[in-house]
Amino acid sequence: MSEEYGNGGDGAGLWARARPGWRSAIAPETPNPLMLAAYLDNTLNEAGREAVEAWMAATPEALELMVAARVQSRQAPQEAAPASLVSRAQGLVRAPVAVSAGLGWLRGLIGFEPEAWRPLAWAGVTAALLVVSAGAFELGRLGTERLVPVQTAALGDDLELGLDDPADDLI
Amino acid sequence: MSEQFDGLDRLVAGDKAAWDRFVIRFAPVIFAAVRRKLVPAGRGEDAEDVAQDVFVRLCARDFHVVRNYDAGRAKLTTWLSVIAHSVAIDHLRRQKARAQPIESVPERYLAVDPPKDPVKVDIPPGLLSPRQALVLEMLYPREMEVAEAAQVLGVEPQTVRSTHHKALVKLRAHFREPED
Repeated sequence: MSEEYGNGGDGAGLWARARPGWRSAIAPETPNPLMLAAYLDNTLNEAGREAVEAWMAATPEALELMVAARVQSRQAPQEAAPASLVSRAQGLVRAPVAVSAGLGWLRGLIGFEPEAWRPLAWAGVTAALLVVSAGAFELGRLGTERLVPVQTAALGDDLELGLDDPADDLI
Repeated sequence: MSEQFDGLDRLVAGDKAAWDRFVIRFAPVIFAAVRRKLVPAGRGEDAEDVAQDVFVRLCARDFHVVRNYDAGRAKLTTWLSVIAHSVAIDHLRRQKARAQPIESVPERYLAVDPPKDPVKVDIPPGLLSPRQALVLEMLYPREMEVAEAAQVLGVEPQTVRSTHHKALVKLRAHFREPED
């Protein structure tokens, strides 16, 4: 409770009357975090300060946030963060996959990391598998086509040999 | 600005070592900010998860938030503190909304009184500056001390007193009340 400006005074009554009208007359935009931080660090220009203060006056959560942030900005944290938080947060960013030194020449040749070729390599493997499958299918089909006539011919030859073989004429 | 971190360029470029150093350096700041909001609300046990959420937001969308930071405008610790408080307030708001399902509330508590005619007094634009309105808001509904209000505004207590006085003069004149 403010000792100097208790809610029993006329100031409280005046502001209670004026507050809804003042709030409805303004439509403050929510400042971005950098603008709020600049306000707390006293590096914001006059127009920026007015915008932040209008937002704080009109939005209860805004004032709550800025009061807490102001208090903290004047105090160094007293306790360390839990080790589990640090390790979880560090795990949010993964280390890049190491490219072996032996691939250095390849990087120089293609102009960028060999890792970038990975999707292309998979696409190539897939295409090669398709080509091999199609080729195998085609070979198999041709092989079947050849085999059947050969067998037919063999049967026919046997029959024809009996009819037209010149050797028969010699007999 | 001695609190700055010299690896932000490498961090946003995806340097894992820079990120690890950033986490070690600023986890205490973020954790303290989050706890400052959550403990008084009885949600201190959520502090670690909420602090982790802050880090998730920092590295989301290829460090989009970090890329918007400008060291020339504010200290990194202040900026992180604002973000951490904001995330903690969002968390408390979500918890409050989830705390009691509407089905569990007795119907009599959900009854809505017919709206009364609002007594709204039009205030001419510009009658009160944002700072004057903010001072009145802090001193009356919030019941803050002058020194606390001065701390929030980053000014001397005397500036708060004079701002308050000027605001009341304007309001009294507007409402046609005699001035002291």
